[in-house]
Amino acid sequence: MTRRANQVTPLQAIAGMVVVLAGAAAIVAVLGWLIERGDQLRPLEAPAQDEQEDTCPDVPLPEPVTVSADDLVECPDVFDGVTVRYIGETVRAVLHRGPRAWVHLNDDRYALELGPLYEHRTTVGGNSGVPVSIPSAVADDITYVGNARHRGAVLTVIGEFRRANPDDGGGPGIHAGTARITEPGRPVGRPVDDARIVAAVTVFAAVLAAAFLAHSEASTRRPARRR
Amino acid sequence: MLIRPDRRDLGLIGLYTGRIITGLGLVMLVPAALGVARAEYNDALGLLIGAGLSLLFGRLAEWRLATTHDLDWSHAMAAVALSWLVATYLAAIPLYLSGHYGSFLDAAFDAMSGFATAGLAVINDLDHVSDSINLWRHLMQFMGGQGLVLVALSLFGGAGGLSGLYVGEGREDRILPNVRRTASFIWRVALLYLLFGTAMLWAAVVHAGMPPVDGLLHAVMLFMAAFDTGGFAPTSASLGFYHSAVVEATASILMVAGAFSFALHYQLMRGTGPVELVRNIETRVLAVTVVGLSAITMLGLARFETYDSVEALLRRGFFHLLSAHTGTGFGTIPGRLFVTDWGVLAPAMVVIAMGLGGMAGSTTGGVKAIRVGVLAKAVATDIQRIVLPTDAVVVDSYHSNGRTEALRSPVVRAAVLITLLYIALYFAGAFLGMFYGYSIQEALFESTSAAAAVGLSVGVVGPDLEEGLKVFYIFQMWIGRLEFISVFALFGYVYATIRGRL
Repeated sequence: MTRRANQVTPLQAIAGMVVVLAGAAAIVAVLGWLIERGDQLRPLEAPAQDEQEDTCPDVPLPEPVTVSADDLVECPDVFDGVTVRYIGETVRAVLHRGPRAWVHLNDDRYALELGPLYEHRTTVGGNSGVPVSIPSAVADDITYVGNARHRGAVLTVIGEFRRANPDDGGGPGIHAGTARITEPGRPVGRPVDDARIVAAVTVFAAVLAAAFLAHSEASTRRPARRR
Repeated sequence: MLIRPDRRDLGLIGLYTGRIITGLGLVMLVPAALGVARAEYNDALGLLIGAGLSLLFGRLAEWRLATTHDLDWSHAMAAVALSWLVATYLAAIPLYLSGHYGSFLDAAFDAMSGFATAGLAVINDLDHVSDSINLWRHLMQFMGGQGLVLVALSLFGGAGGLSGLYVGEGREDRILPNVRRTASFIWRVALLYLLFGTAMLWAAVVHAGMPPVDGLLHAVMLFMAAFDTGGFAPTSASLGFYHSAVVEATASILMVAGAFSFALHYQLMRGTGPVELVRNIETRVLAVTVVGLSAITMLGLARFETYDSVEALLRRGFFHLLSAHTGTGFGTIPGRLFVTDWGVLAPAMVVIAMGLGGMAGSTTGGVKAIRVGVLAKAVATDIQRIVLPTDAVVVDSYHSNGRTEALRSPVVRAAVLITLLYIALYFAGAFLGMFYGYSIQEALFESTSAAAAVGLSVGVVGPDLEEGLKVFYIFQMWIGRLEFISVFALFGYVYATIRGRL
């Protein structure tokens, strides 16, 4: 084939790009349908949250003051050394350290309101949480920690917030004097989506067909090259 | 005159992109298997769909575009840039299907962040994400850190023109005589570190209190994020989750190992390492910049009375400086505290460290120590020329990758050019951030973190990040990780296809 016969005109090039982008968009639309289709999951009603004030509260504060994780990272100086009351879901693991244990307590909307994202489709942002050192006796009673398969135990803790905790090499955290499990947590599940099974089987059938065609093409080229 | 590429040129680019994507599809089967083992069937199916579409892309390219022609340099560069975009699109499929992303753009953001080893994330509810999806996030960093092309080279080899593919991913060091052997060496080093690094981290996280099975998964993921200077972590609290100096110290060793070039690893394995460590311009530059920036960071923290103990200064101040300089992005405090608790000087040092990056030919992003060293030597040489008599001949040299090279003008010019491009990229993102209403400190911090593929954040990057910034940060991570040239080659191909002459 001559170079001219091999040429791609600008119109062909633009049309090719449009076709590729349209194909990619079509796949995304199908994926969106796969997520949205009726697999017993519907986005939960997520009422809008009140806009939070950016300003830090005035001191002195009546103790224990009820705080959120956002309060503590936005105003670490204000709450440093203050006795706080904090509620959050235990996530990922309980780290036992002798008479005490470290837990990471999230107080975002998945933790306290909606439950793990795995069992619904309501995306309301990232996680927010605070590390808390609790007595081991309480940690021993935690049955579930939050992950894809479980909603973790929700704890209410009262203790001193330390902006730069000397017991943790300067990390921020709450040293809880008292901690109470207010919700024990539970396993979460989701039925297997049969449409995904169909999609996966279809795609792999197409892979096999394409692999066969590629192999046949290569086989016909090989003898021709040898000749 | 700009020559319009023909079908053969475009076919070659498509064929090699397909081969690289086939490698991606095969790797995606690993977390799918974990998903089945952990009974996370919906996410396992999502990974299988992503793997299937990747393999389909590769096989279709092989069927329609197979050729005996060799790649030339420009084909290879364009193929690398294109394959990173296609890989991002396909790798985002299982992320999107997991339901943890508000849109496909968000999933693509995290996919590019993974491949570019940035570690910035816009995932929703990371703390409830499945193990299989979490492993996939970290595997993307492992592949991206070593190089997607290296994955394909190791799996399939290929015909001529592989050097272009290799260099297109921002690597310049040819450690062994040919590229395939170099790729094989890089994988051997990575797998060796994977074995020992994971074992060390497993012991460290179990010592910190993690249960053994979950601890092993965390150790594998943390290894990939540390050695490939990625910065994703299994939990939203990053390394701060473990409350352990042992975990932080182990991760630091792996971060530094990741910031070393594979050429230096080669010298260390040959036994010439100690001499090379002292003579190598990049280790010298890194030693100076890490010590200097750490000292100023700690001074800033002490001045602001953020920490009052040496341990706290080391575990918070020095650790974050090291995390930034190696381009890793692990954190042991919530990122928002950089703004609310660290004053101004210390975060500024973190931004500079992020911008500088590690060694060329490593898994880090940023300007890189070799260019900083070359520029410093060029300035010193020019000063000498001014000070010495006019007829004095001033010649300088630098030692890198086991060789001593004369400091020539083209080398200095290339270093200046790439450095200026990085600075322009950092500021472009910062200007866009300010356009969206963020302060200059926040905008510059996030932009530098994205363009230098670091991943530290002051809280701007998250699921509710503005769409315009998501798109621009994706672009920054892509062009920053590939060090500009291959992306320019791809743009050149697109332009020439439309405006070039026959």
